[in-house]
Amino acid sequence: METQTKKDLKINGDGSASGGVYEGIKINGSGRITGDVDCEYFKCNGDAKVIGSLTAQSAKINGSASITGSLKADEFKVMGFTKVSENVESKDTKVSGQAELEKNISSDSITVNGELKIKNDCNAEVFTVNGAFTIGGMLNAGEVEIKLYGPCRAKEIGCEKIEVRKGNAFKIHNIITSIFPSFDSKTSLITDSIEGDEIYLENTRAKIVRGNNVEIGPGCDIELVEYKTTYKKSDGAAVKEEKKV
Amino acid sequence: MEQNLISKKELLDLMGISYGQLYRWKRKNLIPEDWFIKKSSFTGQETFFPKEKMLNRISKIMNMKEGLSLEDIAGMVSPNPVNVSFTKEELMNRGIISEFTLNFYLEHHKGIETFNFDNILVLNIIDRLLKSGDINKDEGVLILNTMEEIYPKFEGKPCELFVMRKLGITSCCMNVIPGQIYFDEGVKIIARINIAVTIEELKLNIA
Repeated sequence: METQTKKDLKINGDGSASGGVYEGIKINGSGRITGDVDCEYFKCNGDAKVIGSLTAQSAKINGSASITGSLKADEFKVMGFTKVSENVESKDTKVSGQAELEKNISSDSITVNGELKIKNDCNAEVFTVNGAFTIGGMLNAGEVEIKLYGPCRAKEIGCEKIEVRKGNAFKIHNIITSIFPSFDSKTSLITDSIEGDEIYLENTRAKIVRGNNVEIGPGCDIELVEYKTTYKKSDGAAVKEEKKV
Repeated sequence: MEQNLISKKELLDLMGISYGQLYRWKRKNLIPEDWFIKKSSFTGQETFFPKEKMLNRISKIMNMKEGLSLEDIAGMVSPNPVNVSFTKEELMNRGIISEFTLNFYLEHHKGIETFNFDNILVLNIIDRLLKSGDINKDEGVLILNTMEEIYPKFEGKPCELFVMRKLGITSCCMNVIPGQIYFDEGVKIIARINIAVTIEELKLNIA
């Protein structure tokens, strides 16, 4: 019998199901879904594997999940660990644990309070990080706000506005580095180039920084700064060459 | 063939735009990914763009900006057709297609009342060729049939249309861009139309 209403899929314990169109999918325990899935909400409180692509209004992962296809969601929340093998498209992305994306991500807003790893490019209007990230390609964002609590890496960064500040968790450590300003590569941003309109950096190592208004704060190690309008450099920063263009 | 390239820095200076704007347009797909050409330079890597295409695109974006959202512009500059349907009167009144060409089209497609984007595209090309006197009506039929049969096979890929004549006999073909095509000496190319460019212009006209 075929009905028009969409069904819920619940896996409590250990189970597997095939893909398809569902109203909601909830996995409490360990679940395996084979095939593409289209649903209103996807929630995993345990361990889930989707062998295929996932399309959902909301996808929340509180345990561990891996998706071998692509992910399309309005809301994508990771509280545990998630791995996605293909592209991710989302409106609101929050990573409070760890997410590993093997291709690109494009999301209106991305908030990271943990660690985000992206193999290729990352596109976002607002990119906020309190933690660590690795982007193998380009970070292209409207607004970038980074509080460094771990290693942050990107091949290149292009944006309208970027603000990178040291996280303020380790007070004693801060005092020591304020007396002996040296580059601390563990909680730092390392990238080849940063290009944007408004730039403020701390603890950043980059080959090139280009922008309209550039301020290089303490703990930075920059080879070349090119600025259009204003430029400021704090005492604890090392800049090899600076040019007004 | 060495393309004429412009570096990112030169481009920003020339057009008076900022990095932020450039990256925003890239995010919104106003500038295709493959126009960003990476080349190594003394500072590591430098980004270059195909000069002519990029300058055209940016002045287009800047001219269109007022009253249109970036998403709207993205739709217009993409080679994908837009969803439209016009009646014969609308097309005539808005000056998109001449009455002569419309009547010619209707001789071959009797009873058609509304025109979708692909119909208008074919009509527009034939209209231009007829008006310029490059082709006559019979040759118009040839192009009409060819385009209707071949164009869907390209599935939106950028392509161009050739109309050529040899010893007074007209023939036409379509070709994917970038591609190469050579003819023997006796062939005279009457018209060479870049479909992607035509689509862009047409979208502006009917928007």
